[in-house]
Amino acid sequence: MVQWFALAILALNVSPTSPTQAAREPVGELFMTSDRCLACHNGIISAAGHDVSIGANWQASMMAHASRDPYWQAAVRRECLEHPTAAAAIQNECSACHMPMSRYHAKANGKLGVVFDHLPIARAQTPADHMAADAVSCTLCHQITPEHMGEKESFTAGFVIDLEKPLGERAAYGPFDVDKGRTRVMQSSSLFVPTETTHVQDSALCASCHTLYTHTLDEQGEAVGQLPEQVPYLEWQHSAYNDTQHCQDCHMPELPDPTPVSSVLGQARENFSQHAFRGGNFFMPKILSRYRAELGVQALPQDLDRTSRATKDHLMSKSARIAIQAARREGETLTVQIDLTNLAGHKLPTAYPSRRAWIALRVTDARGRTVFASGALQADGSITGNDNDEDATRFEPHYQEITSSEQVQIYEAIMVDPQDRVTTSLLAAIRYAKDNRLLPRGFDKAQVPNDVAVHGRAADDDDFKAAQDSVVYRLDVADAQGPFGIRAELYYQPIAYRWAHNLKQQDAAEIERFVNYYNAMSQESAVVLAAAERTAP
Amino acid sequence: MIRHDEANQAALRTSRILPALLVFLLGGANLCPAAAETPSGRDLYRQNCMACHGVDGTGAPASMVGFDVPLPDFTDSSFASRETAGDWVVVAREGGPARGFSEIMPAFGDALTETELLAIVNYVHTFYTDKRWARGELNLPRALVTTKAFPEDELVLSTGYRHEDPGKLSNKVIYERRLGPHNQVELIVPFGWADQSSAATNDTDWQSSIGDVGLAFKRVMFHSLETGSIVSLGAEVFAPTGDKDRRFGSDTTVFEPYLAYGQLLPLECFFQAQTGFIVPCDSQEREDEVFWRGVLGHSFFTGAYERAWSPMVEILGSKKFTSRVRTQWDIVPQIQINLNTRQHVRLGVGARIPLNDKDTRKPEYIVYLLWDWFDGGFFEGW
Repeated sequence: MVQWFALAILALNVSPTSPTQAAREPVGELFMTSDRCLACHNGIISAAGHDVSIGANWQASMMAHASRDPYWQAAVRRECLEHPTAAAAIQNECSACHMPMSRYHAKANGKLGVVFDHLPIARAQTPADHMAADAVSCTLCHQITPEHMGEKESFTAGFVIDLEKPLGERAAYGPFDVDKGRTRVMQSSSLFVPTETTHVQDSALCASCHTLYTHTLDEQGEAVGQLPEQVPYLEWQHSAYNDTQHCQDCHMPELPDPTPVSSVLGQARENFSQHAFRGGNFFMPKILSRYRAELGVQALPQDLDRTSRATKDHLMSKSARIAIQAARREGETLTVQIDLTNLAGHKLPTAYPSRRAWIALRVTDARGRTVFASGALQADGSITGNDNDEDATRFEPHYQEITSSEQVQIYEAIMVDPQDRVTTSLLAAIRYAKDNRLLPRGFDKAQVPNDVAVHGRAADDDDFKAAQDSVVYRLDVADAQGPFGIRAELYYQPIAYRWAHNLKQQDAAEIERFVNYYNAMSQESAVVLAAAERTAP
Repeated sequence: MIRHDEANQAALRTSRILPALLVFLLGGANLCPAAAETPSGRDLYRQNCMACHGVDGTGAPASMVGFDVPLPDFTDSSFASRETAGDWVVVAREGGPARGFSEIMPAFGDALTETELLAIVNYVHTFYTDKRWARGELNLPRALVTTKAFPEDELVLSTGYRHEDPGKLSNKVIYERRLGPHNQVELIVPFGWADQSSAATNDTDWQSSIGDVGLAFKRVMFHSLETGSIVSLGAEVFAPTGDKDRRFGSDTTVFEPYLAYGQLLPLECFFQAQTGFIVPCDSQEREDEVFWRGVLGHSFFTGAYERAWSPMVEILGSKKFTSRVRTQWDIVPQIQINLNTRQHVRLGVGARIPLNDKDTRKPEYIVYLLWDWFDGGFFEGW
């Protein structure tokens, strides 16, 4: 326990009783909740006539719901129950990114961040509760200083926020020069001074939370290893996009026309970055919208639905392509080659390892009857033929060639514990037994460090390379009559079946609640990123 | 009753003549900010205020603004008419804290000129359409004795001490409440302590007593921001609840009809006047009386938040009808001070000094504490 706690403290830069902090006065308020910002940064209409309000967009994003996310709450509860002696350190670590304002303030005062004391969000009472509820909020991101940004110490929520200046004098970093009059308007109301800087447009800002290492705990709660839980920033660094695009370019896309960033005294600004935070989770906004009362959601249902739709649109248009490169019948065998292209600047899928993409292939004969199917999505969110969905101890390997309906090409990260048992517990996991997530352009799997490496059979698959993978299907069609209709789809699911259902290994209200949500909405848990059709004689 | 009618007629004539005369004498001085809507005011409002206060002034929805601080309804005449344009400008220029409101309200002082701020305020005043409500500019500082013409929502505790022999400390609690745009009702509860000792002994014997409790009604008959004038008619009736033997009460019901007038003058000066009658039911207990009162004052403002100070001088005259007591004249130098940032808790202090019959009449030192409860709780906005 001591070892684990020390590691966690080191990783999170918490020094609860350091002489420096013990000697000085308690650190005052560092943040304000988003209600100080929304009014001026809502009601913004683009030149094209679209509502591009910073406040409304953010409010309906996953950033604003990081603390309300019922999956996250259930997962933290599960980890705490599985590692009870490390529960305080777990909450401290998880709150660092999901409740960053309350946690940073606690850290600044030599305390640990907490999670469950701030729940339920719907009954938030104390200022710290409200800070926790506001999740990844305006005055969090816009106060991160450039200090150590992009360096290892900034990862795992190692961002640095000024502890000296009082409210009213604290800087809110942004990309624009703000004149004296507008500065006073913002300062007097929000208590933050708009300060021009470019580091808020750098990927390294996002990296502080989206480069996350977790510590593997044994049954006694002691750290025995470390897992790169999510490292999209490092993936991007090893891609061809490193020199051309930042995270913000895709996830906060700029408007083509000058647009005011404020509805109060708004000046048209070039390079207006939309605060939509387009990511990969279209599913959770739906859950948040449907169960808004239970989860204390403030974003309007229509805004959450819009976020979900926009995320889907983004995924379906910008993330991947699929092509049926060759399809021919030779005797009793139909051979189909599927080529995939990753369009993203990181692995696809990336970040939290619950995400998976897979190929669903369906072949029909001349009469329209299905003669082969692989990777069909079931109503409960599972994939037909996926060993891991059927049995939590097994998983589907990476395939170069598929010959049976029992085989599915799934692009995913499969974690194992120190005993090589498959797990979805972040703190039980020590390494990836499989990581065949599609690589970004420019990614050299032979050269990258282990934290972003390809694991499993994909490492030896020659056509699994930068931005590409090919899978060959050899199908027995002896009894079928062509021509054959072939439809290939690349599915994507933010929360895989096993990741939801493994939560039930522990018994807690948060877990039961989320699993119920998942079961009720599992039919909406996946989306087709790309599809292709072809006919073979 | 006849006298009441005569007073009413006189008051009505005065109400028409006096403002016109003053405006004429002052050469049509611009007494107040223009209230007319200007296109620039509308545009400026939309650029600066609409995000929170809504396009129609009723306030943007909470889902839009994100905060839960209640937004004022500018279309509500009762709210929007009450304060002066100057107060609105101060809040817009210095932000909500300038009047003890939320700091969510930003300070536009470095972004907009005074002229632009005033244009916005003038536009905001177009949102409320019931112009029967007199504008806050006509709400002149409360004098120690003279009743003002503007109807109020106030609670006032007034104390007067006359250094005479035997001594007496007189207090009044006055509760005023507006009823609609024109009317005000008022409850007056006097109480105090008086020295009951006889001349034969040197010992003091202070005893408390309630005075004659009064009810009052006031109605605004005329108001005009253009001329800076307001005229009201009112009447007070005091029941004989006091103890005359203890020098609190008159042992008869007393009616006091009056006419009150207020006039803005240039250079932040103002004039108020009141005239009326004291008509007891039993003339054996108290004599009929006519009174007239005038106040000349000036307000000046200090600090960025423009705290108001209002020195005033009252001249009071009264004449009993039946006795041969000659007309009594008093002068009341005084000052009203805003105690808090919201400016809804105020202190008035001064002395009523006889100008004649000084041998029999002693100065009275008067102080009041005023709470304009419509503007918020007593402890708000400090």
